[in-house]
Amino acid sequence: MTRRRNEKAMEKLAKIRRLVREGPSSLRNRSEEEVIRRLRETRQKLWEAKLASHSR
Amino acid sequence: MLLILDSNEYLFAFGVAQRPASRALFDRLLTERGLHQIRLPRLILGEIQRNFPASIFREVVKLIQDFVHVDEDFLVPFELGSKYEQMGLKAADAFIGAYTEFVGADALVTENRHFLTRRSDLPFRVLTAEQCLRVLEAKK
Repeated sequence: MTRRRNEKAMEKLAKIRRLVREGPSSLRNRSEEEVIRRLRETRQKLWEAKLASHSR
Repeated sequence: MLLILDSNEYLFAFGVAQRPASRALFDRLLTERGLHQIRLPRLILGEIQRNFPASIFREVVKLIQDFVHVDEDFLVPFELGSKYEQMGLKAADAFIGAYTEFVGADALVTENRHFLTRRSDLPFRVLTAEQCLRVLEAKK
């Protein structure tokens, strides 16, 4: 049961990795540092949007 | 162990940039679910969503819904966030620190080297994926 569940989960993970590898992504082929910097920017934008929606 | 994985860990685990340790950690946590608890705040889920097309994000949700618990951001007390802001973090990063403390996590796993790594007085550990793998191995 657990083995089957793990196999299914790994299949889903493999599908995501294939989609990331083959699909369009603005983050593909970027360095680790660039990805981290981009994520920090995303975090900041989401946080500001959250604050703005709460202050209305 | 109760672990919080930062958004960079999810992206690296899914194949954005070459980061073998992040991939290995995610594989391990996935196949050993039940042994460890993984939680994430809505904010981190939003960061993953923002950086993937909808078609990929849908698959991510299908994968993680079985083994990652998602918490709403508003659960975290404001005062706890302030504590981390006073440590010099930006508000959004302070929230992640506060969230990690609030849920009582053992560790925050991140490749962001700026994130609290120089603090030794935290109620949780800040680990890279590589360090986390070593900790999991030692606990075996």
